[in-house]
Amino acid sequence: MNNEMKRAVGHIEMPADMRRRILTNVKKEKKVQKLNIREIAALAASFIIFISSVFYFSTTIIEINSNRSLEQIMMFFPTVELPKLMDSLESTIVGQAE
Amino acid sequence: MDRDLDRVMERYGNNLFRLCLLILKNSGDAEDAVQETFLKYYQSAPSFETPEHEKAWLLTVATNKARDMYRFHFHHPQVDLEEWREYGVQKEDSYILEALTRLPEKYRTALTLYYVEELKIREIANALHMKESAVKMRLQKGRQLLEEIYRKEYMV
Repeated sequence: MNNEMKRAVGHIEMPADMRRRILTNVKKEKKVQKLNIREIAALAASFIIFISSVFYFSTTIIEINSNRSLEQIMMFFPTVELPKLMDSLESTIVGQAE
Repeated sequence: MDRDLDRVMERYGNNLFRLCLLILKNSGDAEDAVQETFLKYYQSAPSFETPEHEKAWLLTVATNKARDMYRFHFHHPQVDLEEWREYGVQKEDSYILEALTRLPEKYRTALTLYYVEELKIREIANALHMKESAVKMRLQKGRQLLEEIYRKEYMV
C-alpha cells in the first residue's frame, strides 16, 4: 500500500505553464502586492472600528455633560459648527462649576 | 537569486506542487501555495547546510501555507480522476490516490510527507508543530484509515 501510494503520487508533475507563471510572479514580486491588500483591508477595518468607538464615546460624553439629546449633538458633527458646540459645552460646564 | 530560484523550481517544484495539491485538492489553490512558498524563499533568502535541509525547509513552509489556506476556505473543490491524469497520474494508480484524498487533512498531510516526500519523523514533527510520538500515532491511524477506505471502496 505504501509503495503504491508513493508510486501514484510520485508521478504528479507541475504543469510547465504553471511553473513559468510562478517564477515570473515571484521574480516580479507581484504576490507581495496581493498579500498587502489583505493587510490593508484588516488595517482599514481596525481603523473604522476605532473611529466608531471614539465617535460613540465622545457623543455619549457630550450628551451626558451638555444635557443635549443625541440628535442635537449630531447636527453639529457634519458641519463646521463643532467649535460652537465646544464653546457652548465649555460655558455650560463653567456655569455649572460656578 | 533569480538563478537560485530557477534551480529550486527545477529541483523541488514537483515535490511542492504534489504536496500542496494533495492537501488542498485543488490546482488553483496549490499554485497559490507554491507561489507563496517561493516568495518566502525569495524574500528570506535562507542558507542551508545540506540539500536535505533545504528540501525539509521548503516542504515545511509549503505544508503550513497549504494548511492555512485549507482552513481559511469553507468550500473545498476537489480534483477529479480525469484531472489527476493531466498531472501525470497513471489510470491504475488513480484509485489509491483517490482513497488518499478522501482521508481527513491531518492524516493526508502526514502520510504524504512521510511516504512520498520521505521526510524523517523529526522533520514532520517540526513541520506540523507536534511531538514525534504524535506524528507516529497519526501515521499509524492514517495507514489504517487508508487501508479501510481502499478495501471498502476499491477492492472487489
